[in-house]
Amino acid sequence: MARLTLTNLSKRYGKHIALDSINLEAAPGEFIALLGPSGCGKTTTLRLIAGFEQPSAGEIHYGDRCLATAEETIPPEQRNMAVVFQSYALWPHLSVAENVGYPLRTRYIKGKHYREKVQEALATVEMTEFSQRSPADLSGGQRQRVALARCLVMTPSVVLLDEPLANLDRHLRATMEKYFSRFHKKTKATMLYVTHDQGEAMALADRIAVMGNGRMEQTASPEQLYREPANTSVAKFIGEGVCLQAEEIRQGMAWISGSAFTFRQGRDCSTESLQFCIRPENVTLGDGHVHAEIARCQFRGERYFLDMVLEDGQGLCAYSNLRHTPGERVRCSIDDGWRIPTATTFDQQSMKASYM
Amino acid sequence: MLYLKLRQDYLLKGVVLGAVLLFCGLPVFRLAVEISTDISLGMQSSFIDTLSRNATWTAAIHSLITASCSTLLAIILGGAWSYAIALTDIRGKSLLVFCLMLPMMIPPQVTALSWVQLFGPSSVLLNTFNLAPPLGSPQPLYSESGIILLLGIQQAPLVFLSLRAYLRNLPREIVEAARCSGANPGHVWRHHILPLSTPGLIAGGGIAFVSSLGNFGIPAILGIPFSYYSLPTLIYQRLTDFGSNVLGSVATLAFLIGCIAAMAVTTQHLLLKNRDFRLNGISGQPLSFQLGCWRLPVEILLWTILVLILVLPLTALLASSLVPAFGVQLSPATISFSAYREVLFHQDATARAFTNSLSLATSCALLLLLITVPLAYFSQHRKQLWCKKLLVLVDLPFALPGVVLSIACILLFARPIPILQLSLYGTLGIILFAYLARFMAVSLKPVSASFAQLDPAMEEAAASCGASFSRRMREILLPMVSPAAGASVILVFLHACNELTVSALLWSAKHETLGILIFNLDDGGESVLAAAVSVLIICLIMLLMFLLDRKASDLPKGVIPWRD
Repeated sequence: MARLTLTNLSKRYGKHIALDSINLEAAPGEFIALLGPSGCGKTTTLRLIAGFEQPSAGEIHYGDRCLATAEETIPPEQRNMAVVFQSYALWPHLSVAENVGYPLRTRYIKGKHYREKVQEALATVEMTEFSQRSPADLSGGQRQRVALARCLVMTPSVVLLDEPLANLDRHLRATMEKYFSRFHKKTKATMLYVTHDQGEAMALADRIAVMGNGRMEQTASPEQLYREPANTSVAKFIGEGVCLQAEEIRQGMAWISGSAFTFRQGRDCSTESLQFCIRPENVTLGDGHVHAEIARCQFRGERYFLDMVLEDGQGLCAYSNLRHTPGERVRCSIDDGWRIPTATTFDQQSMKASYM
Repeated sequence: MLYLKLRQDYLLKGVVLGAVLLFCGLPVFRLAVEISTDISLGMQSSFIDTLSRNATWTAAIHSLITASCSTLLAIILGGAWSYAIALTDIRGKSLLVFCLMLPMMIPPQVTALSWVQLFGPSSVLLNTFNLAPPLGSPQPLYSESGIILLLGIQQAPLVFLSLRAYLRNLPREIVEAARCSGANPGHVWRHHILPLSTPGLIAGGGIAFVSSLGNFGIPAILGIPFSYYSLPTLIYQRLTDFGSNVLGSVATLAFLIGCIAAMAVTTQHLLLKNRDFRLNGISGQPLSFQLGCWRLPVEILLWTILVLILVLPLTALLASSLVPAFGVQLSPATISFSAYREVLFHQDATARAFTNSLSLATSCALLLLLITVPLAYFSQHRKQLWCKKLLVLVDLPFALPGVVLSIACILLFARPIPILQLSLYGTLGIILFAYLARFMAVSLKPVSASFAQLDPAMEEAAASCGASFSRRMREILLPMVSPAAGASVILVFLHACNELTVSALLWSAKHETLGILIFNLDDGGESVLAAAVSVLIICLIMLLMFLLDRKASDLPKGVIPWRD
C-alpha cells in the first residue's frame, strides 16, 4: 500500500480546460470523495487516475511509481486499479461468476484458487446464489454488487468509483453504502469516490475534496468542510445555510443591522473578509435583536425550515418547531458564525443551481 | 477514449488504413489516372473518340430516360407503400414489408427473366391457362417501357426504406397539433406529413436513380434482344467485342456514368439543402391514422399490387422451370424436375458457378469482417477522427455504379501486379477484389451500429481488470458485437449472390458466377435451365433472409432493412 499523489494535474480538450492544475494526496487506505456539480472535472480526474485518458500537464504517482505524465502513461491494465462504473459495465455475454472471475483470468489464476476467490467475493456482496445468472436478469442494485465483487477479487491497490449509486433509487442507496463500507474495510484499498451527492460523500468518506470549474476548492474532513468552509462557494454547496455580509467587525463581534454575533475564524483568515457562513441550527427564533420577515416555510418532517429576509435585504435561514406564515415578522439571534477566510469571485448562483 | 501506446494497437490501425486505401481508394484513383492521361493526348485520345460517337450519346440518353422514369415510378410505388405502412393501422405490416423487400434482394436478371416468362407468346403460365397471345406476337417487355417498369419495381424498396426512416422520426405531436387545430387526416397528410417527408423522398429518389443508372441485369436481358443499349450494356458489348483500344473507350464510358451519378447526387444535395427540418420531438409512439372502413380496401389494394409485381412473375418463373423442355405446356402429366437435376448434377458450368459464387460470397463476407470490425471499433468506439474520415472512402465503391468499379478494377489488373508478377486478370481474384471494395460498406454498417451503441465502460472495465488490448478485443468486444458480425456476413453474402453488374464484366471462362450463369443460359436459349437456377437462387436468398430475420432481436436497430 502506498500514497497516491496528483501533482499540478491538468487536462485540456482543445480549448476547453477540464482540469486546471489540481493537487491531491491520498494516504494508503484512505476513503476520499470527489464532490462537485456536474462538469466540475471530478470524473475527468478519476479517468486520468484510471489511465483511460492522458493528462495535458502534471503527474500522477503511486508511491514511487510514476503512473502518468503528459509524455508517458502506464496503460490501465498495468495499474491494478479497480473501477466501479455508473453503468456497472458488466459484460452481458458472461455469467455473474465469469464477470467476477475475469480479473483472475487476466492474471492466469485457475482451478481451485480461482473458484474460491470468486465464491468469497460473491459471498461478501451476498450474491452467491446468483453466480450462474446472466447480468441481464439482475436488478440495478444487484448488478452494482456484482461489479463490486469484480473489484474485490482483484485485490486492487486503488478503487475508483464513478457515481456508482447514480442509477439507483434512494432506498437502495442506503443498502449499497453499507456494501461500500464493508468493501473498504475488507480490501483496505485507497478509495476515490466521485459523486455529486453530498449526503453520500459525508456518509462514506474520510475526507472530501470539493471541486468546481476544474479546480480543487477545498479538501477536508466532512466535519471541517461543514463547519469551516474555505470560501463562499463551498459554504453554499455544502449543507444548508447562507453567506451573510456583515457591516463591520468591532470588539470581536460581527455587526449587522445594529445587532452583533460571535464568530469563529481560522488562523489564515484574511482581515478584509466580512463574509460569514451561518447555518440554520445556529439561528434561534424568539427574542433576539435581529429583525426578519418570513419568506417561505417548508415542512421537513421533524421540524420546519424557514427562509427569511433581513431588514437590509440579505437572506437567512433557520429551523423552527412551529409553522410560520410568509410575511410574518419575527425576531431572532445568531448564535455562531464562521468567518470565511477568502471571498471568491466564483459564480455562486450557477454553482447552487447546478447542484440543485 | 482509451489512451494506449501499444504496438498491437498501432499495427491494427495500419492494417485497417492500408486495406481501405487498397480496396476502396486505389481502383477509383486508377480510373482517374487513366482518364486524365488519356485526355492529355488531345484529339487523338480515346476519350474524344468515344465521346464523338453516336452510340455513346444514344446509350447515355437511354440511360438517362430509363433511370429518370424508373426513379419516378419507384418514388410513386415506394412512397405509396411507405405512407400506407408507416402512417396507418393496416394489418400484417411485417409480412408486407418483407415481401416488398424481395424485389431488391432478388438479382435483377432473375426479375427480368421471370417477367419475360410471365408475358409473351411462349409463357408457360399463360399457356397453361390458354391465355397466351398468338405465336409471333411481340414480347411486350422487350421495350423501353418494359425496362422502366422493371427498374422501377426493383428500386421501389430503396425509396420505401429511405422514406420510412423519415416518417418514423415524425413526432406525433406535429400531427396531434394539426388535428387539434381542426385539420382532417387528408389535410394533415397534404400540408404537414408530405412536406415534412420530402427529404426522405428526395434521398430515396437519389439512391434509386444512381442504382438504376448502374443496373446491368434488366437492360441486358430486356434491351439487348432489340438492340437497345444503355451505358452499362454498351460497356459490356464493347468489352466482349474486344476492339482496338477498348480499355480507353470503356474507361470513358465509365467516367460518363460516374459524371451522371455525381450530377444526380449534387442535385439531390441541392434539393435537400433548404429542407433541413430538424425534427427533434419525442417520437416514441409511431404515427397511426385509423383508416376505419377504408382499411380493408387499402389492404386488398396493397396485396393486389404485391401479387402483380412479385407473386405472378415468380410463379411464371417457377412454372417455366418445371417443364421438361421449352414450349411444352405445364400440366400434371408434363411436370418435371429434369431441369433441376440437370443444373445441379449434370452441367459442369452450373455446378462450377454455384461453387464459385458461394465461395466468393463466403470468403468476401469473412475477409471483410477482418477489416470492418477494427474499422468500426476505431471509428465508433474510440471515436478517432482519422477513421471517421476514412468512412467516406469506404462508401465510395458502393455508391458508384457497379460498372464504374469493374472498369476501375480491369484497369488496375489488366497488367500483372509489379514486383509480385501476379496476374489477377482472368481469375476469381479480380472478382473477389471488386467484391471486397464494393461490399465493405455493407459489411461495416451492422458492426458500426453495434459498436456505436456499446458502452465504452465495457472495454474500460476490462482494461482496469488487467486485460491487454488483444485480450479485450478477443474476450470482451468481439463476443459482444458477434450478432452484428453474423448479420454482416449474411448481408454481404446476400449482396454477393445477387450481384451481376460487377461479375458480368470481370468473369472469364471457368470463373463464372451465378449471376452471369443465368444471363448466359438465357442468352443461349436455355430458358428452362435459367429458370431453374433462378428458382434455386431465390430459395437461397429467402432462406438467408429468414435466418437474418430470426436473429433480429439480438441486433441493433436498422441493421435488418425490413425490420423496425
